[in-house]
Amino acid sequence: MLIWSRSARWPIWALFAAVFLVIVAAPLAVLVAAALATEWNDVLPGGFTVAHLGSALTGENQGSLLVSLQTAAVAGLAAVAVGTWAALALAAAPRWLRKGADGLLHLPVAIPSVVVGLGLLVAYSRPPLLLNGTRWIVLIAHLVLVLSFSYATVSSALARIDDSYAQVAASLGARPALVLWRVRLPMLLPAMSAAAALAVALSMGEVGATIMVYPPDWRTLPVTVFTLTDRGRTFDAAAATLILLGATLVALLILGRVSRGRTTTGVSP
Amino acid sequence: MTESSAVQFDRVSVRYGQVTALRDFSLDVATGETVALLGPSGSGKSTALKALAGFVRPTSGRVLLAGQDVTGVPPHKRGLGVVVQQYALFPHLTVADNIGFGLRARRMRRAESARRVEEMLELVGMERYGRRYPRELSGGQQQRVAIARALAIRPPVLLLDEPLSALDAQLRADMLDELRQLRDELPDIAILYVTHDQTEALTLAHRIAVMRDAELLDLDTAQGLYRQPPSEFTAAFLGGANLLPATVRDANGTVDVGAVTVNAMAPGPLVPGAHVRLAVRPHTIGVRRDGSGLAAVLTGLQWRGANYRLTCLIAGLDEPGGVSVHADVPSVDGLPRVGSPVRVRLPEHGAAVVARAGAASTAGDAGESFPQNLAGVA
Amino acid sequence: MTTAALAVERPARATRVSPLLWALPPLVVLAGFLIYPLVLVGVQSVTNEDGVRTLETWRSVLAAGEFHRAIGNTVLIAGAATAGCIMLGTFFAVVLALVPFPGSGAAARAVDTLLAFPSFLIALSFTFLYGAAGVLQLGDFLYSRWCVILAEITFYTPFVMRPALAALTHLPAERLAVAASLGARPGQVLRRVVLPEIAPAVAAGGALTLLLTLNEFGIVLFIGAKDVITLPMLVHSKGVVTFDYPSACVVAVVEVALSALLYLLYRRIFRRKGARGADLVP
Repeated sequence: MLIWSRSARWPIWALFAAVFLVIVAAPLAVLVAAALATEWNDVLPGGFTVAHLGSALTGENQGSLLVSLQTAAVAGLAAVAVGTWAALALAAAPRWLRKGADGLLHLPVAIPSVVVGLGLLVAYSRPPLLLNGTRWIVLIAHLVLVLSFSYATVSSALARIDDSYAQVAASLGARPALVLWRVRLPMLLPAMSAAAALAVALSMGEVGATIMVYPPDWRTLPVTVFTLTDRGRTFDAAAATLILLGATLVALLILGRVSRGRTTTGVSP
Repeated sequence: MTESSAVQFDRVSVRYGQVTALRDFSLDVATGETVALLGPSGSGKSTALKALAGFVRPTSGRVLLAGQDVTGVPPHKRGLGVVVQQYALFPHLTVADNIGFGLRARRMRRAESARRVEEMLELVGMERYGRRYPRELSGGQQQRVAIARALAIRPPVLLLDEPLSALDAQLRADMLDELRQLRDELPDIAILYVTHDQTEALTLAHRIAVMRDAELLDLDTAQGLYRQPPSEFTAAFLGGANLLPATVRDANGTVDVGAVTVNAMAPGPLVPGAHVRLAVRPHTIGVRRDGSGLAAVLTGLQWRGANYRLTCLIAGLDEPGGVSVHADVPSVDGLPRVGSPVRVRLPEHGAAVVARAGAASTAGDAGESFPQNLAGVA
Repeated sequence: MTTAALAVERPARATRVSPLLWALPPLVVLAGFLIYPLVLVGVQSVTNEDGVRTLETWRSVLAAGEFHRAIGNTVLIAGAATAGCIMLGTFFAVVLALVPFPGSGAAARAVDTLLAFPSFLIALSFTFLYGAAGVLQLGDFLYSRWCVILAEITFYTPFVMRPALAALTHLPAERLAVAASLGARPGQVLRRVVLPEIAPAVAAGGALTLLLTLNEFGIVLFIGAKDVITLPMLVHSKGVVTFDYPSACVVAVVEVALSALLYLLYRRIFRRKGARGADLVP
């Protein structure tokens, strides 16, 4: 389209391939290789083993994986619920409130996760609410951080749904609650499941706020990966990261399956 | 018009901030009657429908259904059937569930509601599509489902907001036929039909309300508006009439257009000597190379298949630059060339004197000949 | 008439009040878990360990050399990474959309997948790629700013590429064909037709990237270079390594002020234009 002669395309493709390999492909390939390597003191790994993967799935590391999965599930669910509620409520709210609340809801994207963690640490290490040292503070941190994204996903989907659906439903005799339950929420379901997927992916990889607030008995997998790297056990860290990616992927697939099962219609406004 | 009115707008105005979407709108629709709200976009016709359905709240005025004031009643308590432009079929529900939506909202028993849904599917000829989803239907089928869904709750009033605008030309013609049949099958329903398309309005409506700039401009039967347009705007918008300056010769409707005298239809007694406008439909105008008629120059010629549309510039007629008229003539050989002089012949009968100027233009003292709004004259 | 009047009045008042009530619960969540903590961070920054109001912490933190170095590092890394992302993201988008090849769709998806990954993954793999004992044997490169910048470019390129690609799909192919038929060479078409078209989307993506790289923590933490301290790293080390909350709060306030300023600017510029390509949703 842009380059009309085939011969002129080759150099561009070659450049693209080179950059793509170095920037995108190499880091991923190296991580997989490292997770399986016995040792790596040369250009290529010295040998391959599944021992690191095994250790990533047992003992402490397995516990971290479960902690991560539970955190992601709880925070993701809560974020989708609060985000959807906010999107629906603000769509009907007066303009000044909508604009202000919209800005606030997007704020966690703009401020560093470490600061969110520090804030929770400062605020909940004192009365009236002592949450420091409990798992709740981790869950709250994750909720705050992923809320922006789930709110943004649902509210932009809501903006694309025409008012006439709700209006027609009302004209057919449906009370506002029924319109919400039978028309608006079902039509938002795809966006809600997309929001959940995003929330889970982000929560599974969250490290900045978690490292500030986690108690010893609620250590997420990314934090464990960091302690492993810190102690020089980089192969184990790579293996644990690979497990983390795998678990995230499985969670997303399940979520995709669930939402597709519920909305065989492929709702498109 | 009071006791039997299914729908009554009583001086309804709708304002959004500084913008007035509907001004002082009054209209009655009787049971069994179809009224079209016809007008260009932004004329307020959809706003009127939304005010009736309860989707927007009038700033002032009242909306009555069967004599009951429903101005502040929420949409779900009005019990109207509404079909919107893009149909708004619920994408996550099957066709049958869409049609049964209003019945379920009314907590109708399942067996009964299933029967009603079947009945509705039959009414719109979609018996075999109950289990399909809206996205699996064509545009015309979606439209039928939307109508069936609106009718399933047996509403006393059916509101249709540009229901054919999403369809292509051929399908639109077919659906127009179907709508007309449907209308005749529903003698107990009042129908309010919003459209910008004059063909739809003329085909379906018993009466047409012409809207312009957020106001009701003219209201009459379809035939009445076409034959005797009360305003220049309606004359041009409905059927694309030519408007020629004329001078009244006598009270019965004889008028002079330049050197030619025409017997026109008049909405009432005329004041001799007054300056008025004469509405002349393009297909009633004849164009000859010579003979009698108004002297003009052929300035345009367009072949339109079944006929030719000629544009002629008539010199004089007290208008600087002359008056341009359109004439539709059959495809015959021997048409004059563009640029050559022609004679424009006005019909002896069938032209109509337009009483009121459109708000934007002036027609001398024509307006004073008929001080009343003639909207009520049927 | 009286009953009708009642029926008219009640829904009107209800619709005016209830939207505010409905919006309350999510706002309470936000206020409790975000606003209240942030306010306390501000208060803590002017309160010393004994609970006395003082600006002493501010004075000592702002005077320290490590703070100046951290600000310098943060701004430099964010600026350089954003510039890199803009160049690379635009290049990727233009090639993928306008010079497509078999498998370009898969390549686009691969870049997209990076968005679902945690950023520290990139840092971790860099220790094998560029570490002293790794593939390329580059010695101390791993512990330099440049390595952090490269890692951030890798991770954040999709944030520019996505909106740019989206903008390019709205660019009609006919326009390129017409430009070419009028005699413009590919370079000219790129400069005078393609780039102006996608500039708003690229700018929006770039602004978001700048915001996120300013706040980036995982990559810097995992690379663990002693000399590359950024503001988030400083918050972390003061907060949970040395437990000096007041100092951590001072740095946090500076950091939030910097981000909030950029964020307000970003919303101002891109909300008005309605450039949805730069949505916060990746």
